[in-house]
Amino acid sequence: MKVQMKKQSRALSGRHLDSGNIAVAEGAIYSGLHGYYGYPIAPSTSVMERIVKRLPNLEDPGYFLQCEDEIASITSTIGCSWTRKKAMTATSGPGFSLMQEGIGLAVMTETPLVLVNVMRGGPSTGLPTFPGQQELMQAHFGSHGDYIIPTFAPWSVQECFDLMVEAFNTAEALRTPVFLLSDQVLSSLKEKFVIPEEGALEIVNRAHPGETITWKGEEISEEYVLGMNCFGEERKAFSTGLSHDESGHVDLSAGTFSRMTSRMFSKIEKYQHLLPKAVHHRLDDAEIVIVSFGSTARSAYEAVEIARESGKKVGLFRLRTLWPFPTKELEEVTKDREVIVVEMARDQLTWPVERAILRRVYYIAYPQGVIPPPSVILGKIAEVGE
Amino acid sequence: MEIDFSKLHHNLEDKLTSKMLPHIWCSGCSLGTNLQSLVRGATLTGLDMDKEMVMISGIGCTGRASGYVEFDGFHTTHGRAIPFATGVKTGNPNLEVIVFSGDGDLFSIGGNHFIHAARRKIDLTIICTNNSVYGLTGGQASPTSFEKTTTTTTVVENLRPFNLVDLALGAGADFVARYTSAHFKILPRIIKTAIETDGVAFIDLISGCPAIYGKKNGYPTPEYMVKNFLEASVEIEVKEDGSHLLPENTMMHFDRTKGYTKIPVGIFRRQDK
Amino acid sequence: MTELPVSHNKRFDAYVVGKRSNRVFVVDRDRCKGCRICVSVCPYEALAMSTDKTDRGYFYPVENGKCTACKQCLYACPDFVLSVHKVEEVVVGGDKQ
Repeated sequence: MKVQMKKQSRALSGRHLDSGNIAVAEGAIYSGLHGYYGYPIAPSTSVMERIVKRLPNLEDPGYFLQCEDEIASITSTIGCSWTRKKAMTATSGPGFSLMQEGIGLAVMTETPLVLVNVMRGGPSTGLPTFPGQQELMQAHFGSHGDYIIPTFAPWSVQECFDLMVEAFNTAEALRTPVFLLSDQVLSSLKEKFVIPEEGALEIVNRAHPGETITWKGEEISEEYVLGMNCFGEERKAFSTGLSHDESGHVDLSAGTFSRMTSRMFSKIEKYQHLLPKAVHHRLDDAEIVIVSFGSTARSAYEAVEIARESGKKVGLFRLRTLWPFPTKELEEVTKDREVIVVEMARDQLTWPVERAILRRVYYIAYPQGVIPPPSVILGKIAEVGE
Repeated sequence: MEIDFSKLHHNLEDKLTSKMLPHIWCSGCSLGTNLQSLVRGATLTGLDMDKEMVMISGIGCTGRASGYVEFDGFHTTHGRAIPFATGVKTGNPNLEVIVFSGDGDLFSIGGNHFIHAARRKIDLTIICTNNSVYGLTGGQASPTSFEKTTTTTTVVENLRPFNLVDLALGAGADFVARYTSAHFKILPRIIKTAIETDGVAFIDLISGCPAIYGKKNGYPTPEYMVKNFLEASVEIEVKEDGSHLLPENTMMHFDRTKGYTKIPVGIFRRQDK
Repeated sequence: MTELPVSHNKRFDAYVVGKRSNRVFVVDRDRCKGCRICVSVCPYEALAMSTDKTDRGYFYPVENGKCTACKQCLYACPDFVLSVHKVEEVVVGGDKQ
């Protein structure tokens, strides 16, 4: 796609053929991104390189900075958000690990932001240019302390765009950081995708103190999400990573700590139904349910189609919101059915699945930097059938 | 004539977050005086504390400062005040952004962020309350603790301290100054100039920790500390050949039995970006 | 010099000071931590520490009549204890500035 130097619109509406990372960048820009603070790391770098070309040339230009490291990246993203601007960063495994303390700060101070993790093989430097799905648990438990961060996973270039818009809306509506877990395959896979006209999609902006906003037609109550007083506005805007009260000032008492942190969990639970729903594929009469997400689900989808042709009753439950995990929905959908979990990890997705349905599942662990091919999944389907 | 006690309050009370006072700092800690100098300096600029200024602090005793004053503010994670400030300034360039943090927060864990901020020249004011110790956690050595001083993690031997003025000059900061907390008469004007500098302004604000570092290393009482700061301070003489900026001329000297013996003070560099 | 008028309440001590008795020097005993910096920086030796303690257990400064309202102690105090006001700003029925 040619990028010109004259003032550009945020919505490059129309049909495109491009990669997942480009779609992620365009989803952010469509949503109103102002600040991007990032550090190069494969396979996320092209998100940053797209944004550096686009952000300064918009009619309402944003601000791009390549930071000195990932810790500065996440912290500067938080700082920018506190000026009532939409901010994000993109990274991969090693950078995601470095950002964990900053992520904790974002959760504790209820700072809206989007963090894109384009997953690759780990641990450590691992497989920088091959896919992985090994940060599922880290997305929920990577930082210290108890917290939950809405986490979404696209499976196509179109969803890279769509779920970025959802991510920003979720971040703004619920005053929370939001993760988008893409992977190396999606990052460079080129597919057709459509960017709608400007104004066609709902764009949510965080509430001022005392203001009630709506999201997907529902009012977001201040009992769950406090309006955000940002820098430069009326009254002292303040927050701290320490336990604090509604004014943002330090309060280490048990009562205040419980009240505030419980509310941070309740706000996610209360509006969970507004997060991207899982996709049910051929589940109505399925006897075997495959559970997966991301690029792996592309292969699982193919396996389902092939299996169905030979008469096997298989379906796919494809997660799009990983956290909070759709426990009840999964329970209903897998009742009296066999379950196969398949992922590019050694043993992560099995945890929330087995906990949801309270039994052991069949499992394909495929952490070697390759999408498990349909043949492997079909092999497991056959095994289950016996 | 009868005093109306309901009218009594500190002269700066409307600039203080009164519900959070008295603050947690020890008796005689320089931080309280430094905070007052900051508030006075900010007032001199004429800017609105709430709508035009943001104060960011890190972790440490100094980190608590942002909770006590009516600046819009934030108390970040350890070492990360500068990147947070960078995000704020680039998010809303109309705000004056002040980083107020300690020597450990800014130059140990935060050291990398300092040198990049000085390099980039995104308009920031960075005030380092340099007391050469990690006070909040009980008195461990910091990157500016002096050689042959006692801390909980060094007994008599210690590694060389940073000379923060030299470091700031080398990293490219636009405004570099050093004064002590006992210079409360002129600090407000210095702070005002730092805030008004377009570029990266750095103040090495020599502070005391009489309760811990001072008690073990030569200045055990607040009164002695104030006297010691003033007596050890030597205003620099600007030399044509720039030799006043050589590290040996900008570094401080300290004696663990007496406290500071030489503190070169003044404005070492002043330029707009 | 005879003792100048001082009034107290639970929190503050208020002294009328200055050559023309037109200033009030106030000590907020609630905030004082007894560091004595004010006593040592006063150019007129107008302060000395009390012999009784505040509710929080600290000695606090007491003014002895020599204060000129120069404010050095105000600026030096680490705890926002000391303040100086014009008499008319803090008396009952006086003008607020």
